[in-house]
Amino acid sequence: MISLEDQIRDALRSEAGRLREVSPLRLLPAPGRLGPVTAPRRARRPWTWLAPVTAAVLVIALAIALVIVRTERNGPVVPARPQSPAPATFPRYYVALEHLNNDGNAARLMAGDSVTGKTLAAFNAPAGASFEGTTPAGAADDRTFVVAATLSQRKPPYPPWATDGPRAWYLLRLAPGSARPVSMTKLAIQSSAADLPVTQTALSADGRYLAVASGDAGTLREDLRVYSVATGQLVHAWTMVNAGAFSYKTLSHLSWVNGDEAVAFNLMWGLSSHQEVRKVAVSAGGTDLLAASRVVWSQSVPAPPHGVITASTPQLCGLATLTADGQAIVCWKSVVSAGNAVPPMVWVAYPLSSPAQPRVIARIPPPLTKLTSVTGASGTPAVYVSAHEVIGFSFVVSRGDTGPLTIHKFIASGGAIRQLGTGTIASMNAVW
Amino acid sequence: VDDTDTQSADTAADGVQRQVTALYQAHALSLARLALLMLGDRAEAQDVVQDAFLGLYRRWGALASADAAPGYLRASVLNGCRTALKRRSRPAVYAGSQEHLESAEALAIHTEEQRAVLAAVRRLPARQREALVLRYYLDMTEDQAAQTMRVSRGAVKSATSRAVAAVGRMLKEGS
Repeated sequence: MISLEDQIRDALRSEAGRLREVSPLRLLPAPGRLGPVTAPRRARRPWTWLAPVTAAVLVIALAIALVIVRTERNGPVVPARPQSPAPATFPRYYVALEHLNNDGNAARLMAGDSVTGKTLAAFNAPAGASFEGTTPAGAADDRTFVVAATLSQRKPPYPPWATDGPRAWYLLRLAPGSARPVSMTKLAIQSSAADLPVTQTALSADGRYLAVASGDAGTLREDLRVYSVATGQLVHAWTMVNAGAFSYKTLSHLSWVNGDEAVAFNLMWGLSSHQEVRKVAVSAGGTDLLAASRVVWSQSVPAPPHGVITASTPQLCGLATLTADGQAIVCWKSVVSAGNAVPPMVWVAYPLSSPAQPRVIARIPPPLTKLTSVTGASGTPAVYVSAHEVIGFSFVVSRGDTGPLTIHKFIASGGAIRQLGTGTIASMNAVW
Repeated sequence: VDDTDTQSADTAADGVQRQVTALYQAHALSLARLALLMLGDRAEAQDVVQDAFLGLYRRWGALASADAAPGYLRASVLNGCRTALKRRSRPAVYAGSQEHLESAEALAIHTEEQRAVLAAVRRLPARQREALVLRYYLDMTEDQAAQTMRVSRGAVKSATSRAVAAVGRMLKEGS
């Protein structure tokens, strides 16, 4: 049953969304160009100013007294504390793209229940548009998603420097069992054709903020923006300009840390020999992403001799993500050994307090070796990172690239892994 | 005043105008939506937003920094809404307003449930409505709403809780 608060929230957003444009700004001529527009002053009688000034002083004194009394009674105002992340559970509900085209975009979006296998709802993309991907709220929330849809089709040959905007953003809320199990609301985030292609998005745990990473190898630029989900306002924008193709750094794997205090991201160098996880506080000023953020973890590996990867070859971590409590990096590595056609993977946690002592927190049991990563221009990997190094994630084994998929669900915590069950999803190319 | 001074004043005024216009492009729609939720009248909401930007333009020099402008604008819009609500003579502010004449659009956009909730929200006292809008539309915390409304956190909590209860009551009566 949807709560009354959610009904109010939904109704207010729907009503606000009815206003789609405002009239142009009407500014008067600049004050520096014109003389004062106030009426000419009348001659004042002496001491007439005393009465209002006395009244004002009395009012101010009374107000100060009231404030003191109120403060004493209610205590000082305590600054807002970040919400503690929700305990990790396997995300039961998912949103998936269907019928992907060559761009990796989809004409249809469906919301489903991985336990019952039922479809909660399906949405067709508006005419001329296609869905690019979805991102769930952090901390294992499987009820709140942001969906991106591109409003224009890129035409072949897809030059890497092409922009792919404009796009529209939607808030998708699932409330299974209620009268309205699914609601999709268009967000007021402004987008333009000049926006860079979106590479990653992350919704904060409380669903208030959306972090969007975008980048383009042609312009050598990577952007990180934070939008208010409620108002669509751009709260922050940082940019990183790469010096050249060989030192190109790719921004990826966004995650929210400590509620909605900071955004963490992975930087992978173009030659794949170095990676960093950085954190930028939402309150950080400036527009330079590298200057505003700080490194919380990094790793460098030498290139293998003659490019041959063996079991002993050091590897960078895949999907390196800072946990929601900011205490560890969680990522995966392939375990290469002789005779393994497909190397099995392990999930590793690097505690930031002692990064030299990583811990294997989960091994993907063979033959479940294929982890579906997100298909499409935006989204997050099929990994839900929560506090205290507890992760829930899904392995997807497919027979071919299309057709029914089997999800094997696991939850891992503190070195143990527990299989929760399996589910089947039909005709799906991406899962969250 | 020599020509150089006049030119630099003109340049500064142009700069302010450009910055205020950029802020308008970035924030006017979201502020107008906020005002619409408070006032229920589209034209009046846009007027309040225009006034807020005009105020910002006139007082640009008094701002501590350009970063403070969005906060100033939101406070200014909420103040404008409070003033507009006080100006209204009848307590049933939405009865017979232009928004009801536009109900065909609302009918097409809102579900029956949303329309019932909105009708109930519109009947709330201004302060309770403001608390609801700040908490459930802007997703402010109780502390943030308290700072914006310039009341205590307890007052926000109480106004929100009363407003939700009143909306629930009205929905029950209507069903």
